[in-house]
Amino acid sequence: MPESSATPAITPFQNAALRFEHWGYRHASRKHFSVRGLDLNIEAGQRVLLLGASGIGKSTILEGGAGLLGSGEYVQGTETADDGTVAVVDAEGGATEGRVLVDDVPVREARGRVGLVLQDPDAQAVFQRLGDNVAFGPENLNVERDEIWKRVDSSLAAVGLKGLQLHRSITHLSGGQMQRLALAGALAMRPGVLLLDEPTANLDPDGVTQVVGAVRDVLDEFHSTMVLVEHRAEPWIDLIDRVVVLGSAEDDGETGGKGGSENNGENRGEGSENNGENGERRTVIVADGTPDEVFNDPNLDFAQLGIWVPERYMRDEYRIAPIHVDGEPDYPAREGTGEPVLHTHDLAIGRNGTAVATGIDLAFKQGQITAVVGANGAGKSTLSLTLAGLLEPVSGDVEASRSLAEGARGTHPSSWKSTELASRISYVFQNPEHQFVKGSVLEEVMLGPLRTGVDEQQAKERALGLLERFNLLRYANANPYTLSGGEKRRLTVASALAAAPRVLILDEPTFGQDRNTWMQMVELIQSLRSDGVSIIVVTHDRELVTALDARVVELLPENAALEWNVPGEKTGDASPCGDGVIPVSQVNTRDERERQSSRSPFLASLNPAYRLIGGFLAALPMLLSLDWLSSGSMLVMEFIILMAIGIMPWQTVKSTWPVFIGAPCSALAVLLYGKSGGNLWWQWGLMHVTDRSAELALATALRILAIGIPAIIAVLGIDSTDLADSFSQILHLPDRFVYGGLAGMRLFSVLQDDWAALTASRRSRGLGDDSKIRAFFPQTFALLVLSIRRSTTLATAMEARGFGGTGPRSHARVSTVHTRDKVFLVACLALPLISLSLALAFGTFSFFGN
Amino acid sequence: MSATTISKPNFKWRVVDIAVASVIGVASALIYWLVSIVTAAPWSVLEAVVPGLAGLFNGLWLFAAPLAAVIVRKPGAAIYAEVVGGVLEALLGNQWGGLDTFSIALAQGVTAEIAFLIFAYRKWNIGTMLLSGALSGVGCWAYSFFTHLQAIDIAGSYGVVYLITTVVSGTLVAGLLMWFLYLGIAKTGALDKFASGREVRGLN
Repeated sequence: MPESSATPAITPFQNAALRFEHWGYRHASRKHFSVRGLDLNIEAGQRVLLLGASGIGKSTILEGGAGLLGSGEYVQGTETADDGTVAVVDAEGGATEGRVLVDDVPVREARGRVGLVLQDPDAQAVFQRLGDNVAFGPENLNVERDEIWKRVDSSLAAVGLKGLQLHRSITHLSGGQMQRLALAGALAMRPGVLLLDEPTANLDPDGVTQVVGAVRDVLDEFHSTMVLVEHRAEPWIDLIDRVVVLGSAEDDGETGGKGGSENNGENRGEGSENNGENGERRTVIVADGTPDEVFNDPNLDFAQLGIWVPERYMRDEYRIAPIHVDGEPDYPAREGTGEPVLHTHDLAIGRNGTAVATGIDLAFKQGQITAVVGANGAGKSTLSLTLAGLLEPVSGDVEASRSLAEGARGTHPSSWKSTELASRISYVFQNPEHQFVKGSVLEEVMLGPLRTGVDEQQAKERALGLLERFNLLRYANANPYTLSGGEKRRLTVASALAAAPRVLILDEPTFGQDRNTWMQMVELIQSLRSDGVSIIVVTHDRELVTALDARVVELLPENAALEWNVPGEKTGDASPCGDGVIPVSQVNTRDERERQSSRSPFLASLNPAYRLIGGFLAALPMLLSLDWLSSGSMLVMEFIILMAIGIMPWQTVKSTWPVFIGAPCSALAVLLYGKSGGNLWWQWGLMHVTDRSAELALATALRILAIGIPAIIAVLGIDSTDLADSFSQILHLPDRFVYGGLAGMRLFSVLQDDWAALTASRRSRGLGDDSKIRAFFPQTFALLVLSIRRSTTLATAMEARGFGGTGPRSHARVSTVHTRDKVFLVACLALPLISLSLALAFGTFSFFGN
Repeated sequence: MSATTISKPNFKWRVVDIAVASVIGVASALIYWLVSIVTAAPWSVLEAVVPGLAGLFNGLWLFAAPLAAVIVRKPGAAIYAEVVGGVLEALLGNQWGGLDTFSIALAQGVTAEIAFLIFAYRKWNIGTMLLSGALSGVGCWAYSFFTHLQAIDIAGSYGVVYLITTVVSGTLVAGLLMWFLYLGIAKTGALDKFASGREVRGLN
C-alpha cells in the first residue's frame, strides 16, 4: 500500500476555532431549513454547551460542523431564496447556505480536524475488534501504520480503556465503555475540535460518570475545542465555560424559543413532516455566556425552552417534584391499592436458561407505580420481560391474580395465548420501531382492541379517544414511522393501552427527551393510575422516579454499591410490595483469548483470500465431470487431508451437515427425472428410474459433498475483518466497498437481536398466535426498516471518521501472503485434477453429465 | 424560490449507498437462510407431485437484487446485494455449500441487474422490477443445470417446468412483492436520504 505517500501526521492536537457564517441546512426530506442564518463563532479551546429544545437543529449544527452535510463533491445546482441568499443543493437533495470554517478553512477541506461522537454507542462501531475501531479514523486520513498504533494506544489510554486488549470483541463492552471507545476513535484522528452529540443520553449513571471523566481528562491534556449537545447537562457543567442557548425566530422577526419541541430531527435524519405549521424560521441565539450568566438570567424561561437546568442553578420553579394530575386516586403511587394483580414466587430470571438472579418475590398492585432500576446489563429488561410473559422464568413463577387470569389459560402469563396476554399485560419497548405493525397511526391503536375481540366500531371509538388524550389525533392517518421520537413513544403507549391491559410495563419511557416531551410522558403515566392500571417502569432516570413517586426495586450486581439508596435490606426482607433490592450475578468480565480462525492450525495460518480462492479451486473443476469415481475419490482424499491438518471426520460432518441433507434431495430429483438409459427399474407418470439415472444420482450426491465440504471448511471461521483486509490489500478491491460492506455485516448480530425483540413485541400486542407464514412478512418488513435506519446512521458515523473520501487510505493491519499460501492453492487445484484423471483413466468420466 | 437544479442521475456510490445495499444483503441472508431450512421438506413433496414444481420457492432467494437496486439506484447494486446475501447465507450454512451459494448468487445478481442496465439505470418502475425478477429467475434456473442438476436434461419436461415455475416465482416475489415492499419502506421515511425514497414521499 502507498505508505510512502502518506501525509505527515498533523501537528498533534492543535486546537482549532470553529465558525458558522450565516450557515443553514435543509434536509432533503424537508420543506423547511432545519437551521438557517446561524452565526456562531467558537474560539480555539472553548468548551461550549449547546442547548435548545428537540427539533431546534442542534444535531444538524454538529453534523454541519463535522463537515458531513452538503457534500461538495456532489453539487447538483443552486437555489436562490427571495432575499437573495444562495443555497447549494447536494446530491442528497439537501441545501446548504453560508459556510462553516475551521481555522478559516472550509470544514469539508479540513478532514480530520473535527471529531464527532454520536448518541448511540452501537451505531458507531465498524469493526468487531476494539483496537480496529480506533485505528479506522487514522487509516482514512492515510496516517502511517506505526503512527496509527501509537495513536490507538494513546487514545485508549486517554479515555481510560488502556487495560483492555486490542483484539477484544466489542460485543461484551458496556454502554459506557462503547462510548469511551467512540471518543477514542475520534481522538485518534487528532482533531482540533471535538463535537459531542448527546454522548451520555443512552447511558446509565455509571456510564455517564465514565464518559464525562474521559472527556475531562482529554480536555485537560489536549485543550481541544469542544461543543457539547446534551439535554441533561448537570454532570458536565464543571467542564463548560460557555453556554449557547438556541431558539428560533419566525420570519416576521418575533424571537422566542419555540422551536418545534415535537420535531426531533435529531440525529436520526428523520422527523415529523406534520409540523410544517412552524413555517420558515431562522435559528437565533437566545442566550450566550458563561454558565453563571446564562443559567442565572432571570429573563430566560428554561421550562418553556425545553431545557433541563443543572442542579446547582436550579430555581424552585424548575425542580422536579412528585407530579400530580387531575382525577388521580387518593392513595400513593408507591403503594397502590387492593390485592396484588401480579406477583412472583421464588422467581429466577435469565436468558437461555442461565439464571442471573434468583429468589425474587415481588408483588404489583393496581394503581401502583414500580420503578425497576439498576446498572445497564444488570438484568432489568430480563426481569420486566419475564413479568410480561415474554420470557420463560428459569425457575419459580410469575403468577397473575385470579381476577387478572380470569378467562385465560392458567395463571402464568408466559403460558397465555398472545391475545390473552395483550388484554392483560402490555409491554412498551424501548425502541418504538420494534412495535409498529400497521401503516397508519389509527390502525396501530385499533389493532389491540380488534385482536382481543372488540368490534370495529368500538375499537375505532376507543382508538380515537386515546389519540385525542395523547395529543396525536391530527396524525391519525400518518405513517407511524414518520412521527418524531416523542410522538412515537406516546403512540406506543396509546397502542398498548388500547387493549385495556391491567398491567403496563414501560422500558425506558423517557430516554433522551427534552424537558417538554419528558413532562408530557410523566403526566401521561401518572394519569393511567386513575384507570387502575399497575405500572412498571424500567428506568435509570432519577427525576422520573421522583416525579412519579414510584416504589423502587433495584437490581444490584454482586460487589457493586447501591446506587439508589433503597430503603430496606438486601433480598427477601423487604415486603414484596415495598421498595427492595434484588442481587444479581456479576456481568462477565473475563479475559478474552484471541479467536482462532479455523480448527486447523494450518488453515488458520493462511491468508483469508487465499483460503477462499483455494476452496473455489478445489471445487470448480469438479463440475467438468459428473461420475461416481471422480467425486468419490475426491471425497475420500478430502477426509484424509482434513484429518492430516487437524480436522477429524466427525468434526467435518458436524461443520457441514446441511450439505449432507441437500445432497440426497438433489440426488432424488436426478434419480426420478434424470437422464435415462439402460434398464428401466421403475416408472410412474413422468418419473423414470433407470440404470443411468441411478448412477447419475449417486454421482450427484457424492459430488455435492465433494464440492461443498472443501468450500465450507476452507472459509469456516475466517474473521470478517481479516477477510476485508485481504480483499483490500491482496485482491485490491476498492476500500469503499470492502469496508462499507464489512460495516453492514457487523449489523448482522444486531439484526438477530432485533428479530427477537420484534417477535416478543408481536406476542405482547396479540399477534403472536398467527401462523408462522402470516407473521413472517410483516416482521420481515419491520426488520428491513430497522436495518436501513441503522445502516444510515452507521454511514454517518463512518463519514465522521473520514471514510468515503477519494484520497488514499493507509492500512493499520497488514494482510500477508507466504509461500504456504501458494502451496495451498496448488494443492487445492491438484486434488480435483487427480480425481478427474482417475475418472478418465477408468473410463467413468462424464462431461457435464452427458 | 427559484431553483436551477440539474437533474441527472449520479452513478457514484456514496457511503450510505454502500451501507444500505450491504444491509439489505445482510437482512436477506438471514431470510434466505431461514427459507432454506423451512423449504427443505416441502421442496421434496412438491418435486414428487410435479417435477420442477418446487421452482416456485426460488423467488424467495432472489429478492435482494431488485430490492437493493430500486432503493439505491446505482450500477451494480443488484449484483452487490445478492452476492452479499448469498455469501452470508453460505457462511450460516445451508444445504448447497459455499461455492454453489456464492456462484448462484452471482448469476442471479447479474441477470437481475440486466433489467436496469438496458434502461441505462433511468427507469425505476414496476415494469423494470418485474423484468428484473423474471431475469433473475432465468439466471437461477440456468445455473442450477450447470451444477447440481447437471444430470437432468435442461430441455426436457423437468427443465421446462422448472424454468416456468422459477421465472413465475421470481417475477412475483422478487419483482412484484419487492416493488410494494419498497413503496412500504419508503413511506416510513427510512429512505429519505435516497432519491427513491423522496420520490415516493413526494418530496422531490
